[in-house]
Amino acid sequence: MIIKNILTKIEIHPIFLILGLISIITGLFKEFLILFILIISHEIGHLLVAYYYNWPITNIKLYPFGGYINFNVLLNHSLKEELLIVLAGPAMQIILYSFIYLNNYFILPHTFNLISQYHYSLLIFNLLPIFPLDGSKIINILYNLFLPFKKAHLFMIYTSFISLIIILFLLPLIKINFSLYLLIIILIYKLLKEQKNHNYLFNRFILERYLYDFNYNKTKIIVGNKLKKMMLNKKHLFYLKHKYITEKSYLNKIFK
Amino acid sequence: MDDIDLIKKRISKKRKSFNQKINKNILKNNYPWTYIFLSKIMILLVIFLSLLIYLKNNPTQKLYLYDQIFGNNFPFAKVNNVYQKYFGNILPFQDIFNRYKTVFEEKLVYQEANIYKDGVVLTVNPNYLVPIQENGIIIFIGDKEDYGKTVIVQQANGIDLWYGNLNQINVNLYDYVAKGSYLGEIKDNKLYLVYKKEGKVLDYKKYIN
Repeated sequence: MIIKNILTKIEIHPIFLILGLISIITGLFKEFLILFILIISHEIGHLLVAYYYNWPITNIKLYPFGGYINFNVLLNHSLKEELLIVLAGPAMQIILYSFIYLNNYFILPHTFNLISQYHYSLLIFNLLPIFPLDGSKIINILYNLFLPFKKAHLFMIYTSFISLIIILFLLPLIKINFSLYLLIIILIYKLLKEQKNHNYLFNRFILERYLYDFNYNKTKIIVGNKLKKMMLNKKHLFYLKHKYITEKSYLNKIFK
Repeated sequence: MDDIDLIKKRISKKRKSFNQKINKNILKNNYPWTYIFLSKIMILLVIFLSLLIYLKNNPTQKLYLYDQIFGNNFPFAKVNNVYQKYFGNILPFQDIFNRYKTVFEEKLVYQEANIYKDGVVLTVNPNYLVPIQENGIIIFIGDKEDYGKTVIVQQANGIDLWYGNLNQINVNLYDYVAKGSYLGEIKDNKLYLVYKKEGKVLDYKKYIN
C-alpha cells in the first residue's frame, strides 16, 4: 500500500525523459541505467527515514541530478529530523556503492569504473551548497542553530549564489557538456524562485507560530518588537515597554 | 419520526437523479474503453495491410527494407560521435571523475597476415592480449561460424570490426570502448579480423599496417 502510494506521487521531469531518449539513440543504455539506479537509491534513503519520522509526502520530482521530495510539513519542524532525512540519501548511496565495491567480482572492471564515476560525481554534486540540493539543506540547518530564521534563510541563498558563481567559473575546465549546463540552468531558476519567496516564507513561519503550539526547551529574549530575530528552535520572550511578553500573546496582538 | 423518514427518502431520491445526470454526461463525452481499443487495432491493421500490399508490388523496396531492418544495426557510435561533436558529453556527469582512462596498447603486434574467409587472419604470440583498434560500441558478443568466440565493435567511422577466435572477453554488450583499451585474450595464436560496412566486406589492407 505504502509503495503504491509513493509510486503515484513520482513526477519525472521532462529533461530527464529527453536525456533518456538521447542516451538510447547514442547507445548509452548502461550509463543511463546506472545514473537512474543511483538516483533512485538516493531517494529511497530519504524516503525510509522520512517514513520513520512520519513525514507526509506531497510529491517526488526526478531530475537528472537527483530527486527532489516535497514534504507536507510545517516550517517549524524539528531540525534533527530534517538533518537525518537529508543525510540518509547520500548514506544510502554510499551503502549501495560499498556493497557493489565489496562484491565487485561479479561485474567487469569497465562497468565498475562507470558506477564509481557516476557515484562520486552524483554524491559530490548533491552535497554542493546550492539551493535545491542536499548540501544547501544541511547548511540551512547549521545556520538555523545560531542565527534567526530570516537571516539563516537569506544566508543560505547567498551561499548558494556564491557557490554557483564559483562553479560557473570552474565549468570551462570540464569538457563541453550540454546537459550539465541545462542542470545548472534549472538550479538557477529554482534559486531565483526561492529568493522571491523569501518574505512569504518568513510570514508563513510567524503565522505557524501564531496558529500552533510548539514546545521548545530553550528561550530567547528579544528586546523591542523585532520579529526578524525569531529563531526556529527556540521559544521567545519580548521585552516591550519595561515588560516581558510571551511570544504567543505578542503574536495575538499583531494578528488581531 | 415519519417526517424525518420522508425527508430522508426525498433527499436520497434527489441524490440518485443527480448522480444519473452526471453519469449520462460522462457517457456523452467519453467513449467506452472497448471502442477506443478496437479502433486503435483497426488503424494498426490498416497500416500493416497497406504496407504489405505496397511491398508485394515493389520487390526491390522489399529487399531494401529487409536489409535495413534485419541486416543493419542502428548506428549508435556514429550518432554518439556527431552529438559529442556539437553538444559535448551526453549525460550530466560523464567523464568528470574518470581516473581509469589508461591506454593498454595502441597497435596490433603480429608476425603474419593472410586472407581468411571474409577478412584476415593474424598470426600472433600465444595468449595474445587484444587491444581495441578504434572507439566504438560493442554490438555483439557470441559464437560465429568459422570465427569462434567473436566480438563485434561498431566504430564511429561506420565500420563494424569483428574480432574472432577469442578465449576471454573483458567487455559487456553495449559498452563504449576507447581506442587502445583491453578487449580480451586470444585462444591460441590466431586472431581473425573482419571489416564490414553496411553489410559489405571491406579490404583489410587499408586498415592494417
